[in-house]
Parts: sequence; structure tokens; C-alpha cells
Amino acid sequence: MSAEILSKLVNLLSFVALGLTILLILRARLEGQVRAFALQSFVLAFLSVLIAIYTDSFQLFGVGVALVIVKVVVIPRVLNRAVAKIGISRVAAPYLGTAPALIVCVLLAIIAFYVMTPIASSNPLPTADAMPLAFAGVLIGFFIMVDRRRAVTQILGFLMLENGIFLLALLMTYGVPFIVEMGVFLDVLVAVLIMEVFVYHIKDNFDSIDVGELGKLKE
Amino acid sequence: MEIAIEFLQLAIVMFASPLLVGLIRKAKARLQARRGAPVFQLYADIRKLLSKETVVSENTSWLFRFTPYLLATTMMLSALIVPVLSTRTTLGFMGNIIALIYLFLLGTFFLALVGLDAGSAFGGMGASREVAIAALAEPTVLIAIFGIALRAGTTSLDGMITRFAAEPLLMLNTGHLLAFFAFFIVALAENGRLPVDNPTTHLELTMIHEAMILEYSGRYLALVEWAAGMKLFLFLTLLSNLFFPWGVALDNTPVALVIALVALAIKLVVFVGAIALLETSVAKLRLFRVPELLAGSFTIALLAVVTAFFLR
Repeated sequence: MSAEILSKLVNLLSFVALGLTILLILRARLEGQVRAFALQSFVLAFLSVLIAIYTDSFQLFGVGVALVIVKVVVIPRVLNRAVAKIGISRVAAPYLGTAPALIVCVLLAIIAFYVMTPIASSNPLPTADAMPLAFAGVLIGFFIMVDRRRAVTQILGFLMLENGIFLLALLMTYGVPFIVEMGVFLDVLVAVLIMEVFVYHIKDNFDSIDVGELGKLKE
Repeated sequence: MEIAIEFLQLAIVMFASPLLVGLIRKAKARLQARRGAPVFQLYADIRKLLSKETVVSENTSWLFRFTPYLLATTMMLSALIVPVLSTRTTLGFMGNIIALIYLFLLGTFFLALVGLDAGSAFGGMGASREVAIAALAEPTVLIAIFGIALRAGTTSLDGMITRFAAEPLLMLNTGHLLAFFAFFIVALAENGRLPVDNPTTHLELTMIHEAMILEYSGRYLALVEWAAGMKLFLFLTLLSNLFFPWGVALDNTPVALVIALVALAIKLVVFVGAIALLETSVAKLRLFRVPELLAGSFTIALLAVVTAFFLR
């Protein structure tokens, strides 16, 4: 596999990942959003295996496998369980409507391109071209977290943000060492579990998982 | 020679477009486990309509009688500009893609006027919906075009195809693919296909294109239907030759032209399959969700332009 083809494939897959982040905004149902996240994680796993083959790195291959286990299988299952328990399957309840949110996403992508292109061009790796896309994914994940009222969809925003950071590290340096990546995966997993418990508590206390309720004073 | 090819392209668009529509209907029917009408059904329909009496409402103006001819003429003119087989044609010099889009929109504009002309409730409803969708779709078309024109360095159709034909790895180029998807969604919207408009029903609540042409009968209806078929054919040809230019004849040798014809047929069949699959698997969007879909395709087109600027 030549460096040119790798660079194009990496670009393409990073775009698919970014597109799936944006799909999170278009999807109304929570199941669909969880599926978008699982699919994005699968794309990232594929990407890391691809780079592992290119660089003959066994560690990176392991990272790809672990990614599939944690983010494609376990976390979506946890989230689906939470969605089923709370029973709010169709409401994402963003503050902004779909069309304005999409425009904001494009603006964030333009900012990402503007900021990251000089950094990417100083990086000699063939994967560096796609760095602005990964950074755009980080920014849009942030935006989704801020834009959503429901706690579960905020978790999805957080996970997308984390995927963006993983992708950025992968493209910039062919990934961080295996042991560090494992630590991050476990952190994310535990974070999701804790957040799930939080969501249940919010639901118990307020009869809704609208985080706007948290700002109101209670007797 | 070049003039002969020009007429050959025109003839292909004129006479193959009902077949394309028939193929899409057939493929859809087979996917839905129906037998479906024969693929040549639209030819028979057009012939039948041509021999029927034309009823024109007393309340209509000259616009009503003029528009079917305008629709057919703009489509035939577009057929001369779009590089169906070859990039070297006599009228190629005026093959500017922006001019082409506005030729298409001219037909849309007059069709919307005709919807209002007869003063029926359905016509007005269809016209207002069509204009709303066209107003959302048009910026997307132009921006998607800028996305690829920036990479090619020209807005001439022939120039773009020649430029892209030199790139074998086109499929892996992200800006190009993004522009393709944006253009594809808009092509569905502009041609009144699912998920924006259902071409097969006259259901009063949902129809858009059918509502505008409800007053037409006889040979006018035949012209309108035929023009709609040509528009679909041209959009799909544009999509396949602009975004996947493999096989398009770059010079006018007979061998190259035959290859171009076969390649075009294969690409169109792929598109027919894709559209049939899509129309079988998705439901029509609620009218108020159509802007979301078009906003999505606008986003994709804008990203295509951004990447054309930053990624080389």
C-alpha cells in the first residue's frame, strides 16, 4: 500500500466519521443516534487497523480490536439499556433547530480547517492531511453536548468528542501507546457507566432527564 | 462529424429517456415483488396522449399553452450542452454548468406559473411547494458545483470532465464524493423523486410535481411527461459523467464513442438500481422535514467547498 493511497483512504474514512457525527444531529430517534456512534467507532477501528497494517504495528492492531469491543459492543449496549429503561426513545430536544445546528457544524468545520491546516502541513506523516477533520469532529462533539437538553444525548456528544480526540492522536502520531489507549478506553467506559447512574438519579428526582430542570430551585 | 455527434447525443436523450423512466419503474416493481408495467410503457403512454383531444380550461392564459413547448425545448437545448458521449462537440464551448442549471430552473419557474395559471387549488399548492423546494435546492446545486469547479479550475462541463478523467483515483477523493452526494440528493429533489415527492401517486396531500401538471391533458401532458423524463435522464447523465468520467470519449473516434455509449449505459443502469433501491427502502418525508434533508445536503456541499480550498 503506497503512502498516497493510504492518505486518500484515511481522508475518506475520516470524512465518514465526521459525517456520522453530523448524522447525530439529523437523527431524531435515540436508537439511531446510538447506532451512528457505534458505526463511527467501527470506522475508527477500521482506520486504526489500516494504519496498523501500513506501519506493521501490532500494538495499533490491538487498539483497533479493543476499540471494537469497548465502543462498538459494550457502550452502545449500555446506552441502549439506559434508553430502554427511561423510555424516551424519540426525543433529542436540542436548543437549536436542525438547520441552524447544521450551519453551526459547517462553521465549526471551517474553523477546524483554518486552525489545523498549518499544523497538519508541518506534520510529515501521510495521515496528517485528515487532521482538520478529526479536530472538526472534536468541536462538533462539544457543540452537540452543549446543544442538547437530554442527558443521554449529552453522553453521546461526549463520546463523539472522545472519538474525535482518538482520531486526532491516531492521525498525528499513529496513535498513543497501547497501554495509554487502554487506560483511556477504560476511563470512557467507567465514565459512561457513572453517567448512566446519574441519568437514572436525575430521572428519579425530576421525572425527566431534561438538564434544564437542574437549574431550577426546589423547595 | 462533430455536428453529427451533437445530433446523436440529442437523439439519445430524446428517445432513451422514456426507457430510463420505464426501467426505474420496472426495477422498483421487481424489488417490491410486483411484475410491473413493461419498460416501454412510457412510449405507449406518450403515443396515446398524442392522439387524444386536448382540453384547455377557459380561465388559462397563453402561458398554459406555451409552457409544455418551453419545457421540451429547454431540455433538448440542455441535451446539446451536456456531454452525453463526447467532450468535443460543436456547442461544447457554451457548455457552462451554471448556464445549464438555470436552463433547468427556467422550466421549473414556468411550471410553477402554470400551476397557478388555471386557478385550481391543487395547482397553487403544488406551485408553492415546488418553489419552496427549488429555493432550498438551488443554493446547494450551485455550491456543490463550486466544490468541483474549484478543483477543476473551470466551470465548463467539457473542461471539468477532461480534467477529472485524468485522475484514476477519483473515487477516493473526499471533496468530490461530498459534492456527489449533495448533488445526488438535490437531483432527487429537483426531479420529484422520493423522499421529497412521490412520482407515482396523485395523493392530494403529498403531491408536488403532479399537482402542478394536473390541468394538462392530451399532447400537452405528453410533452410535460416527456420533458420530465428528459430532465431525469440529463441529471443522471450529468451525475455519472461529471463525477465518474471513466469512459467518456475525449476525442471523436468511433471506437471511443461506442465505449462511451456502453459506459453511459452501465452507469445509468447502476443509478437506476440505486434509485429503485432507495425509493423502495425510504418513505416519503413529511413536507416539513424536507428542509432538514436539503439543509443536510447543503451542509455536505459546503463541506465539499471547504475541502476543495484546504485539502488538495
